[in-house]
Amino acid sequence: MISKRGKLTNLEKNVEGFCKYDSVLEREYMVELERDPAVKSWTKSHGIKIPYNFLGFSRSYLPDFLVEFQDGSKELHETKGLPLLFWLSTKLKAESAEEYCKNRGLKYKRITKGRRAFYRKVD
Amino acid sequence: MQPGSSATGIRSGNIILGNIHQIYEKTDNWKVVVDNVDSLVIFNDEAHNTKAEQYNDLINKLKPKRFFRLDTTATPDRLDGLHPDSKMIYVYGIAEAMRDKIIKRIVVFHPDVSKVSLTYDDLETGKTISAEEVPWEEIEKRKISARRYITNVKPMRQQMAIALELLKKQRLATTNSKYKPLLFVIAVSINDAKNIARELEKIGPKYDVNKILEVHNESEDELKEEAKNLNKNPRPDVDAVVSVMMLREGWDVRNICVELLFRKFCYKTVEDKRYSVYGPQVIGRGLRRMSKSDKEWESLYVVDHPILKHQWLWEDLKATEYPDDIDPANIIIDEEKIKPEKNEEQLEEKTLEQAEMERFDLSKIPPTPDPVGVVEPIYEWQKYLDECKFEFSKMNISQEISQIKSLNLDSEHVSLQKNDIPEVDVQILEKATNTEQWDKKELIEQLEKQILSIARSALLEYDRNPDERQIILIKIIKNHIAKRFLYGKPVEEAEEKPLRILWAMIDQVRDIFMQPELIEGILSNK
Repeated sequence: MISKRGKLTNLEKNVEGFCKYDSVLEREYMVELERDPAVKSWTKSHGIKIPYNFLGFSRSYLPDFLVEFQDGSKELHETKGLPLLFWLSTKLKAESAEEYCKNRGLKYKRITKGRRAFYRKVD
Repeated sequence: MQPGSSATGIRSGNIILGNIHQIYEKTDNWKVVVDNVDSLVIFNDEAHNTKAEQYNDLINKLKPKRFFRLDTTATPDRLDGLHPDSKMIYVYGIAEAMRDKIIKRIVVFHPDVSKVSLTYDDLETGKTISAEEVPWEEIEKRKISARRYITNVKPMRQQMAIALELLKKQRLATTNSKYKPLLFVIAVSINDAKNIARELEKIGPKYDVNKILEVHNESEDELKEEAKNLNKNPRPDVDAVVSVMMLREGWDVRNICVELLFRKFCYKTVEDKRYSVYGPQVIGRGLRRMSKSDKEWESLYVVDHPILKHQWLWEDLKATEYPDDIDPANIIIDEEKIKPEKNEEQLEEKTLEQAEMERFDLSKIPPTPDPVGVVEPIYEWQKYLDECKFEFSKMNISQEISQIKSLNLDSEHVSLQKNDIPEVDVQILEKATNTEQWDKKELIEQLEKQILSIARSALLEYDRNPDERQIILIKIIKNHIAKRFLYGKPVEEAEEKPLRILWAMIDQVRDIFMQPELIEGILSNK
């Protein structure tokens, strides 16, 4: 995945009005969130840390986006390029995040790019 | 030209507006045009229909008077490979239209199925003959008809539940809109449409979907009219529309926000080019935008299933030029080249991931999808019909969904989620052969009706033209049925028991004749 960093400003739905991005995918997805009529607000500075266990070490994981919808429901969205989707750490983070969300009435969604992830099996 | 009004007005008008039926059915109109108009400029919309014989004939008769003719159509491709006999001068595809944001953006959803349980029940006793659990990859190899799979009660309900969840989401997205989002369900036959509507009535109310409009050839005129007029009211009472072939060109209801597919679309390859009509046309029904805002951009959610193998369709409709023009008004400012901040946590994560690189084999990444196969006409169709296998038992499918995925056709963003997998319960169904309470006479009538409808839909599917070739097909279908189910006897002379079994099997017969490659084979060497 191309790594590209920068900052988007003049954002209407972002809580702070601006937001930094760490990858092309993240940047694109931030624009998606801005343009989605169902989204009420979104932020990267949500302070949510999800503990997970990696090969016996306990670590914590910061999901990318906290998204609030028009009806008040909330979701955590994690952007990951396709190769990274197959990494063990990604899987472990996702499992912990799903558990975390389930207990708090949130929903967890992984976002990637490319048709391969759509047509073929990705767990 | 207006139904019910006199043809004389045409004489004084400079612009004559009408549809072809007002000329077919009202000879007065035709006469006035031919006798009184010297020079014509013809704007021929939905020009893909021009290949219909009667239409073509008529438009050719106007040739001597014609000064100029412009054909326009949203679906220039026909499965028969024929084009309107005009030269293509400009093409504006769905992909471009999506890029220009004059239509909704298409987002396709489908479930990832991990494994499937198949049980087979005896048609008469209802007893289970066999049961097995197979991984999804295995299902793809078995030749289970896609329609049969997707209209099986449990998968059907799961697809519905996915669509209803998405409709809920669309309602959220349109809270400030004057339009009420609608669900559009597409079936392949009237029987399927009836079953689908019945199931939807059961699970719809949970999602506040109460009024369902069922539109097909056998629907009452009142309902057809109601469907036609849906575009006149931005907030109709109707919540969902279930349709067979009826609602296609000219039916433009902006409110359609979710489309649910219970049919497989076909295509034909002629000289490396794919031709398909129904697929793009049906998807097109839901593409009209509701708002003019370029700040926000509405989506059309399409609920698909891997068994339908529609990958080719989504390839054809793709519009991948991303990402800068998703912000057409240029409101968002990108302050690039900010010094990357190196915080410790990120650094640590990177090293871990690098370690994994070595540990985990990257060859696990799935290969690029296979190219779509080319369908060959079945020239040895008699042999094919004599040898095709029928399932003389009732199949029950139960699939396990591991996650639901979406693909955004314009940005290629894919989402994966495990939380919205619908839970559906399915009651035990009645025995297939006993569901209808008809006596033998009524049963024969219903079967005859089915045979006619199979011939008609087969031609509609083949080249959208259910003309006199139906007679050839009816003969072949009857022959096939007699040979395979009725011990060589025609329907009207057969015993009641095989007739009842045939009734339970008739959808399988339909599936066979809905293959354009078979019809192509039959019609090319009558």
